[in-house]
Formats: sequence, C-alpha cells, structure tokens
Amino acid sequence: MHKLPVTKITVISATEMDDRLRARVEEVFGKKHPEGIRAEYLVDDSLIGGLIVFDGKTVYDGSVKTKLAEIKEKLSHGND
Amino acid sequence: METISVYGSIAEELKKEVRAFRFGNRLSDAGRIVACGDGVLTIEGLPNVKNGELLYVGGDKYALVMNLETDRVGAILLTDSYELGEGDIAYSTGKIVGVPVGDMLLGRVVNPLGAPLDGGKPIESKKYRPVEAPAPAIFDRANVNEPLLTGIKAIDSMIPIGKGQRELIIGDRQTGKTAIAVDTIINQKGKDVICVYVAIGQKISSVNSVIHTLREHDALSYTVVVCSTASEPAPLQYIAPYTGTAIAEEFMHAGKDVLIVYDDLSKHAVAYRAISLLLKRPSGREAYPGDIFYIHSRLLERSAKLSEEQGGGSLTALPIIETLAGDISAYIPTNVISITDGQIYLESELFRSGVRPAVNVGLSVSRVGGAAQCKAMKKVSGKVRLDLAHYREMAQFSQFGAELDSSTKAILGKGARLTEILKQRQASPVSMSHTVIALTVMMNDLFSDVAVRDVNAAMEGFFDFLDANHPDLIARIEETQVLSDEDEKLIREYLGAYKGNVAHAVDEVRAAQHTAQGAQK
Amino acid sequence: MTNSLLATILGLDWKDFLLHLLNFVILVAIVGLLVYKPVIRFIHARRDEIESQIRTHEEKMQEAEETKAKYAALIGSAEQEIAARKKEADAEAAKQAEAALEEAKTRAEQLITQAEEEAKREKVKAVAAIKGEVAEVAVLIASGILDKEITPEENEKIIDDCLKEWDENNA
Repeated sequence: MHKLPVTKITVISATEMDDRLRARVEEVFGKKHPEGIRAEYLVDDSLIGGLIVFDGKTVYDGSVKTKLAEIKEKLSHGND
Repeated sequence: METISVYGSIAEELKKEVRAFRFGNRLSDAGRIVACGDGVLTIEGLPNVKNGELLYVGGDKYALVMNLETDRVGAILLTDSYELGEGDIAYSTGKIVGVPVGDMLLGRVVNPLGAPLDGGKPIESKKYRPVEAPAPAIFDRANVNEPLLTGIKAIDSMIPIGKGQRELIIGDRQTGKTAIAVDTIINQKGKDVICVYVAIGQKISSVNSVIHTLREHDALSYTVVVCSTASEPAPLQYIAPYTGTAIAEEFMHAGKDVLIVYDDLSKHAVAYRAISLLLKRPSGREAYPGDIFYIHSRLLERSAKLSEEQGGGSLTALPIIETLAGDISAYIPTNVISITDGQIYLESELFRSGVRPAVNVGLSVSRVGGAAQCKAMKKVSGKVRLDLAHYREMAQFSQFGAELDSSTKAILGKGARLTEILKQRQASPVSMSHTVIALTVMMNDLFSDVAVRDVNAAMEGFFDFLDANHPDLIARIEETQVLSDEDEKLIREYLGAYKGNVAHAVDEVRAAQHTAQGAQK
Repeated sequence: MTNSLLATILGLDWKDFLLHLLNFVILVAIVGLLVYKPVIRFIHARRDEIESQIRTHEEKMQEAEETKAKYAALIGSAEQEIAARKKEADAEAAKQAEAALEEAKTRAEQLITQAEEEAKREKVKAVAAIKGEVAEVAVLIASGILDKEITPEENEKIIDDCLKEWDENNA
C-alpha cells in the first residue's frame, strides 16, 4: 500500500499563534491535504497582522503588510 | 486658496478609493526552492507553471522557467543573487518575459529586460511585447526587392543586401566584423531605417566604443542599443537577441524598415551552453545542447519582409559569428550559415595585408543578389567579381618576377586598381552614386595611367571635381537609380576634363617650383 | 539782181552764204541739243534740290519743335508719376507697419495662451505627483499605526476571517 508523504506547510504570523489558532490552521489545511500535514510555525513581525500559509504549491497570503501594499499600489496607479 | 483646495480634493479622492477597496486574501501559485546555485534554481511545487514563465523570487528578482520535470522545475535567475537560499518561496507570475517597446526606446541603451543602462529615465511604455514570438507566416511575407545600402563599396556592389534579408558577417577576431555592422548603421542616416544593435557578451569597453561612434555620427537618434555584456549572468546574455528582435518587430509591424545587428551569436551560443549544462541537459557536439540550432533558427526566422497587407515593413538581420583560425566549417558557423541568406566572409590575411574591409569576395555570397540592387549598380558590378577572380589567378604568376605579356599586365593592373578602389576607411559610408561612378571608371580601365597607390586619392579628387562642376550627374544617378549610356559617356568626358585639369595643375606646380629654384640662385 | 547784190556786198557768193547759214543752223541745233538742254536740266535740278532741302529743313524744324513739346509733356507726367508713387509707397509702409504691429500683438496673445496652458498642464502633473506621495505617506502612517494598534484580539479576528475564507474556497 502506497501512501503519499505528509505535506509540510509553513505558517508565518506576525505574533506567536496560540494553540486554538494553530488547531484551526491545521484543521483547515488538513482538509486540503488528506495525506496529512506537518506545520512549521514562523514569526515575522513585518507582517503587522494576519498570516501567510505556504503548502508547497500555493501561497495563502492574508497578511496586513500585503494588503497595505495593495492599497498603495491601487492608489498610486488607480487613475492610470 | 488654490493649494489648499488641491490637497483637499486629493484627500477626498483617496478616501473614496480606500472605502471602495475590497479586501481579499491573495492566493498565488508558488513553489519552494530546494536547490540554488550558479544562477540556477531547482524548485518544488509550482503546480501550474508553464515553460518560459517568469517567476518572482526574493522580493525583487526574476527567474525564467526552463526545465519542467515531473516533480521539480528548473529556472534560471535573471539577476545575480547571493541572497536566495534553499527554502525560499518562488512565486508564479503567469507572465512570460516581455519588454517595453515603442518610439521612446530610440536613442536609449537598455538591458535585455528593458531597464535603462544609459543613466536616463526608466522606459515607460504602454505596450509590452513578449521576447519570444512566432516568425511571420509564409503568406504574410513578400519578396525581398529593396536594397539596404551598407555604404561599403565592396558589399553594395558584389554582395548586395536587401531589406528583409539575413546576411551573416563571419570572420576571425579583429577582422572588422563589428566595423561593417556599425558602418551600415551609420549609413542609414536619413534613409528612414530604424536600427537595433544587440551586444551579447561583449566587453563593456567595446560597447562603449560603438555607442561613442554612433553618437559621433549622429546615428544614435534612430538606434536602440540592447546591451548584455560579458559580466552579465548567462541568462541575460541568452535573452538579449530575443529582446532586440521583439523591439525591432514592433517597428516592423508598424510598416517601418528595421535593421538589427546581433554582435555576436557565438557568445550567445556559449551563454546558452552554460545555462544548459547547469540545468543538466544532455550535451552534444562541442558540449553544446541539442537545441543549439533551434535557438538561432527561431531568432533569425523573425527577420523578414512583410507583404503589403501586413504593412510592408521589413526586418533585416546582420548576425555576427566569430570563427577560430578561419574555420567556417565548425559547428556553430555552419549552423548559422545554413540559416542565413548569405555571408560576408572576412579574412585576417586580407586584413593584415591592408585590404580593409577584409572581404573575401570569392567565398562571400548574397543569396538575394541582384534582386536587391538598383539598375545602375547591377550594370556596373556585373563583371567585378570575375575580374577580381582573374586578378587573383594571375597575381600568383606575378610573384615569379617573370616576363609578362601585355594582356596579363593589363589584367594585373586593372585588378590591383579594383582592389585598391574597394578599400575604404572605417565610418566613411560611400553613397550609391559614388560607388557606381567609381566602378564605372575602374571597370572601363580609365585610371590605367594612375599609380595603384594613388587610385583612391585620384578618385576623391574626381568626386570633388564632379561636385563642383557637374552636380547634376550625381543627383541624376541618385534619383533615377539608373546609369544611362549617355551618363556613362558623360563620366568618360568629365574624367578627361578632370585629368586635363590635374595635368595642368601639376605643370603649374612644376613651373612654380622652377621659378622658386631660379629665384634662390 | 538782189542775189548778186547781197552776194557782192557781203563779199560772199550767195551759195556760200546759204552754206554758212545752213552751217549756223546745224550748229545751233547741235549746240542746243548738246548744251542747252542739259544745262537747263541741270539748273532745274539744282533749283528742285534747293527747294527740297528747304522743305526738309522746315520739316526737321517742325519735328524738333514737336519732340521738344513731347519731352516737356513727358517730364511733366513723370514728375506727376513720381509724386503718385511716393504717395503709394508711404501708404504701403504705413500698412506694413500696422500689419507688423498686429502680428506682434497676435504672437504675444499666443504666447500668453501657451503659457497659460503650460501652467495648467504643470498643475495637473503636480497634482498627480502629490497624490502619489500622499498615498505613500498615508500607507506609511497606516502601517505605523497598525503596527502599534492592532490588538491581539483584532489579530485573531483577522486570522480567523482568513481561515474561514480559505476553508470555504476549497470544497
């Protein structure tokens, strides 16, 4: 019987995530990867808030830093 | 007052836009770098990436996807980077490499990604073209029938180039290959031809020198320089000619005539070999990868003459290849020779013996030939090649110092003078009418009384004489592009008059010298 | 009887007398033909010539008088023309001066309009530039504020919202 190896996911947040949040993350991404996941948690305060999750194939970017960058982009070139 | 209201209105607009902004959580395809070194990234992930796609890494760098395997992707970095490491994320952009195109590029020096290298403003363009594009289809093309004058007598007469043709300039190092290309660019002044000069793997000092020459001759205003020197990473050197072609294609599809010079494709092949070896692709002859022919054939096929329905524009290519020890049967030279519509072969032997441009007329050929020559040029240059071939045959005999009969002496004299008249200084383009007149004089052996080494000076003098006394003849030849029999007779006549003047002037000088000597005594 | 008288008186034979008479007549005839007629012709010719010369002279005098009168008239009219031309030239000069003045006025107006439009364009450019900078500053400020102001609860909410969205995005 062949089993796909577990997927390693990287979770980056602005501040340490508590257990409840970690469980939430693993629940959501566990559904996406039935073969199982192994989460690695990193902290990067330049994100300001929110989190980024990378599962080896897709980047889920919910950080405040990126949102601010998008706003700035839109405002600077909104009228072009 | 006004300033305050200006700020107020801006603030209002910004507030409106912020309120309207929808927050979304971005999802993008990405991969994880598992190996990184020598400018090559090996990436896992990137589920939907396409070949040739651009990847975004390290916050501000780009990489080009070149290898697609079952579980990993090989990409080459387009900027040197020592900051990337294993574990970093590489984002997919969904785009292929493109460059800004348009008139704002004229007079600029850019790198293969469109970034300026001349210290000027960034290139701002509404239009981007992908660097890789399919060549014009068969039914979109027309026959090559218009000449592209290089201003070099030897080439315009015997190896004529037409608009839309690919003509290879091939020779050993230091034989004047770049000089021919640059002289051709300079000669396009005022002829409504846009020029693109692509420097691949050249020394920065050489490129500097070329740009300086172009600027001096006021040629930079209609030229775009795409520059990827020897210190740039191999991927950038690899893309450079495609970038130049994309820029040129924009003008071609707008109906313009464009000239593109690839200097040189030998270094381009070397850069591609480096990339392929680092991507661990199998290597073949001389360690070049299997598709070394394809990288040049797909590049050169994009040069064409378009049909009227497509705008009638044209892209003429002058690729340059450097040979080693004159070996044109090496791998890359034979590849490119079979792709192009002819070659101009430069020999170091000729160069050393003072024949510059060092064109070997026997081995050089233009497969478009007479179809790209005006009637005047065709008329006078028909027998030039033959005469030069005769001369070369006979020249071997003359070395014996043997007694020669008069007809052999005549052939030798004519051939020596022909060879002399075909010599030319660098960056001194010669117009079509001047070439026609010079060849008319030489082919009818009208300078048989002039010493071989004085032939060029005498011809210069004749041109000055014509400019001063009979400018209508030159104007007529330029206008009508035909050398009528009457004009030919006129040339003989004027030449007689000129020689008379010269003889007269010589006598006067002698007489003056005589009196001066007499006065001294 | 008379004959012999005459003859003896004259000492001539009446035959000789007749002969002399005949001689005389012939002489007169000859002289008349050879001399008289040509001379008379000559004199007449001279008279005619002189008369014609006198006539020519009178004609020439007449001509001279006429020419003099003509020139006098011409000079008079030339002077008139000069005066007329001069008036014309003055008028022309005045017209040109006015035209030049008009042109200068128009140019000045054009320059002013151009300057006005240029100023307007510059203003638009300046506004756009300012807008970009204001946006940048606003975002900087926002990120600075958010950096300090996001409470752990707010952060949790953001993370929960993200996860909800990602959870729903996949079947």
